[in-house]
Amino acid sequence: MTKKPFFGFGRPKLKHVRLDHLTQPEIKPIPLPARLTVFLHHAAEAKDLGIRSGTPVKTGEKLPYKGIGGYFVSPATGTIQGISENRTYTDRRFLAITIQVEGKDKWDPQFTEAAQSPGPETALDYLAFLPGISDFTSLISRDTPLHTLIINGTDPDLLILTNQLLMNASPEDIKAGLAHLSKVSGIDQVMVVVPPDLRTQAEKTGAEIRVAEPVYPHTLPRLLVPNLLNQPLPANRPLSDLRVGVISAEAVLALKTAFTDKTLPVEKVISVIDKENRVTCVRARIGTPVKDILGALKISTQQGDRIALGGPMTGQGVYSEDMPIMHDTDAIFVQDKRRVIPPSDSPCINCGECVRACPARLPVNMLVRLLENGLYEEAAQRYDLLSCVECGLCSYVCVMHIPVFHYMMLGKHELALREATEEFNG
Amino acid sequence: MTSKTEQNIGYVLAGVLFIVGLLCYTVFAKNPPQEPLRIMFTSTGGKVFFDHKTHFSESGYAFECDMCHHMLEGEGEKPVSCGECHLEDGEDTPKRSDALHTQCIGCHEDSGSGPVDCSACHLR
Amino acid sequence: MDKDKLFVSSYAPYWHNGSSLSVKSYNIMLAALPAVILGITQYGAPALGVVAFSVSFAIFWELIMNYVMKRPVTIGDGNAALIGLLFAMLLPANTPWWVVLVGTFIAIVIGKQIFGGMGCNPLNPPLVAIAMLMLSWEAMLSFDEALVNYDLGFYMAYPLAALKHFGPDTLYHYSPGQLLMGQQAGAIGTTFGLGLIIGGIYLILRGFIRWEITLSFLTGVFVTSLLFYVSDPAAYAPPYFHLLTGYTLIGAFFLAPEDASSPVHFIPMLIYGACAGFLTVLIRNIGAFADGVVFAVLLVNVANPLFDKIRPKALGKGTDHA
Repeated sequence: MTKKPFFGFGRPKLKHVRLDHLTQPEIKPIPLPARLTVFLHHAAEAKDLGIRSGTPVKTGEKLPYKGIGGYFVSPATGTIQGISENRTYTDRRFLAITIQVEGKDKWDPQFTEAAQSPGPETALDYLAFLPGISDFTSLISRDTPLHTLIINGTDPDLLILTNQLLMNASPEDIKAGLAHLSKVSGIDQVMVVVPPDLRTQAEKTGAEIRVAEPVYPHTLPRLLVPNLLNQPLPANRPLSDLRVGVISAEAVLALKTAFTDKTLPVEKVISVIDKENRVTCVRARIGTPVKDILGALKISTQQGDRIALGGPMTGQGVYSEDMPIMHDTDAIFVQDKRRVIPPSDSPCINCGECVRACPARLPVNMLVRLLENGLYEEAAQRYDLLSCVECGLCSYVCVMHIPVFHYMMLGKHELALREATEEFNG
Repeated sequence: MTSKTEQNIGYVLAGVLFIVGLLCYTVFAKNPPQEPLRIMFTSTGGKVFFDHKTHFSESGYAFECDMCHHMLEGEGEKPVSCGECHLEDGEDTPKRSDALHTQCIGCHEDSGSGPVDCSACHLR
Repeated sequence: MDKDKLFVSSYAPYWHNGSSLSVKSYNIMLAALPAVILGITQYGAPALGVVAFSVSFAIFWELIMNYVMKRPVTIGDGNAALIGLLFAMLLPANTPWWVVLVGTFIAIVIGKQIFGGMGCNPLNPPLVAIAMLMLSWEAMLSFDEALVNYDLGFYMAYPLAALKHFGPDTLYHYSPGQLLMGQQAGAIGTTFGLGLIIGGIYLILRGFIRWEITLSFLTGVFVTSLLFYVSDPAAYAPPYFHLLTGYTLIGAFFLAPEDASSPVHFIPMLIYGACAGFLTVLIRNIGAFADGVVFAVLLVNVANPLFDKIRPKALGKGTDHA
C-alpha cells in the first residue's frame, strides 16, 4: 500500500485499513512502567512549577503551574524525580517532568468530589488534558460558542485505528459520554462521523451519523469537516471559525469514564504500527516511554530505524525511544531502517505529481522553488502557502524525493514567527 | 540522489554504446550503392530531387546507362565526369544547368511523360 | 538516554510512493524503443550507430559538465541518456558522427546544463539541438537529401517535404496504414506511428507523462489541419497526414510533455498542447519549414511560465465572503 501502482496516472489513492487489519481485536494493556515523563509545552521554566524534585504525587492529582492552562495531572503515584528545561527543534521551550512510579495507584480525592457536580467548571478545572484531544477546554470555553460538536469516529492518518476500534467496541459508552458532553459544553447539536463499515455500530450512539469515505487525506479534520458541513473553511483559519468543534470518540469515552468512575482519565489508547505495518491497539498510562510499549509488544528496534509519534503521513519523528506518549498521541509508527527513504536535495523537475496530488490545489512546484530560497512571504502572498492542509502527499509523490512537506511547514513556521515578532514590536 | 548502482549503469551504458557506435560507424559502415538510387542536385533555382533508380531499373523505365550518360569508362560501367572533356572555361562548353535542362526536359517532352514545369522538379 | 541507539528523525511523511527519476527516464526510453528498433531494422547499422553514439555522447557531456560545474555526478538518473535517445530519434539514419557529437553537446550543455541542469531547462533539450542543427546544417536534416542512398521498398520521398514542394497531389503515395506502420521516409525514431502510440499510451497509463498535453497537442494538430483541409482540400493535406508524418507523434508523446518545459496545471496543459499543435500545422501549411513541431514546441516552451499563471483557486481562498 505504500507503493505507486504499476498503472497510475491520477492522484494517489490511499485507502485507510479497516478494523480487521488489527493483529488482535481487543486493546492490549501495557503494564505501568517504573518511570513516566510528562511534557509541559506551556511552561518554560522549572520555577514556574509548584513542585520540585522529590515531591510526592498521587494518581490524578492536579499540579498547578504558572502559564497557559495552569495545571497538569499526574498520571501515576510516586515521586517527582527530575524536572528538565528543554527546547524543541523549532526552538520552543518546554518542561519535561519525570515521575518515579511507586507501587499501586493511590487516587487523589480532589476530582472525586468535584465530579459529584458535573458541569462546565469541573471540566475546565480538571479535564484540559482529556486523552484523545489536544485541548479540551478550548472547545467548551469560547467567546463565540460553537453550534455543533463533531464526534470523530475516524482516524486522521493511515494505519491508525484507535477511534474506529473504540467506536466499534463501545458505542453505548460513547452514548453515555455524549450526555456528559452536552452537559459540560452546553452544545446539543452533535454529529458522529464514521467510516462506512462502522455505521451500524455508530447508530447505537443515538446521534446524527455521517459517513466519511476512508480515503487519505480526506480524513484529516481540515478536509473532513468542511466537507461534512458543505461549508468552505477559509485558508489558515481554525476549524472553530465554522463554529464547530471536533472531538475524538476516545475523548468522549474518557469523559464518560471521568464522570461515572469519578476518577481523572490517565490512560491513552494508541495504535502501534510495527515494521511490517501490522497494527495493535494498546492502552498505556500517559507518560509511558515508547520503549516500554514496544517492549511489551516485542517489537525490536535498532540504531537507524525510525519512530514517529503519529501515523506514517503526518507523525512526528523522535530520535530516542525514551520519548513518552502524551495525552494526544494517537499512534506509534515504527519503520525498519531498510525502509527509511532519505530525503534528497535534488532540484524540482516540474513533473507536476505534487500539483496533481495536492488536495488544496496549490502550485506546489512554484512553492518549493520559493521556499527553498527562503522567500516565505512571497510564497504566502502569491502562491497561497497558507492554504496548505498539511497532508504530506507532496513529499509522498515527489519523484526527486524532495522533502516538500518539510519546506511547506518550515515556511508556515517562519511566517508565524515573523508575525509574532511584528506583534511584539508593536 | 542517485545511488552507486544507478551511476554505474550510466557508465556502462555510455561505454557499451560508444563501442557499438564505433563499430557501426567503422566496421559496419554502409558504402553508397554502385548505382545511385536518388540524387539531390543543388542549384540556385532550387534543389532537384532526381529519382535515378526509377529511370534505370527494370521495374521503372529500364533505360540503358548510355541513354543519358555518354562516354562510359571501362566496360561501360562508370560514367566519366563532364569536366574530364569539357574544360571549365572552354568556349563551347555548355553550362551544367543547360545540359541538364536539355537532357531532362527534352526526354520528358519526347516521350510525353515526366515533368517539364520548373516547380515540378525544383524544390522551393 | 541510550546514545548508541538513535533513530532517524526527519519530517513526515515516512512513506513514499517509490517513484524515482531513473525509473522514469528508463521507462520513457523503454517506451521509445519500439519506434527506435523499427528504425534500426529499416536503416541498419548506420541508424544503430547514430542511436548508440547519441546516447553515449549525451552521457559523456553530462559527465563533463558535472565535473566542470563541480556538481555531483548525475548520469545515474538516466535523463542524459534519455535526451541522447530522443535526439537520435529525430536524426536521419546516416548522420555523421560529428553532427551527433555537436548535437548532443547543444542538447546537454546549452539545452540543459547551463540553465542549472535537471529541471531548470526552459526549453526541451533535444529540440534545442535539432533546431540549431536545422538552421546550421540544413542539408543534414533534410531527409530527402540525407537518405538518397536508401531504398526500403516504399516511396522514399519525405512526406512533409513532398507536401511542401508539390502540394497534396503527391499524397496518393502515402496511405494511412503505411504511415502508421513506418512505411515512410524520415528520422530514425519518428516514422513508426503505431510504435510511438503504443509507447506513449504505456507512459500515460503509468503516469510518466501528462496525458493532458499529449491529447491537446494531437487535438490541436487535428483541428487546425482539419480547418485548413476543409477550407481548401486541393491546397492542404488532410488531418491524418499531419498526425502521422514528421515529428507529430514523437512530439506529442515524448517532446511536448517534457517535465521542466511544460506546465503542470490542468487548463494550462490543455492550452499549451493545443497551442503547440496549432503552431505545428501553421508552420507546415503556411510557414517556411517542412515540419513545424520543432519550432512550435520550442515556442510554447517559452510561453510556458505564462500559461502556468492560470491556476485553480487554492482551497479556502476567495471564500471569505461566501
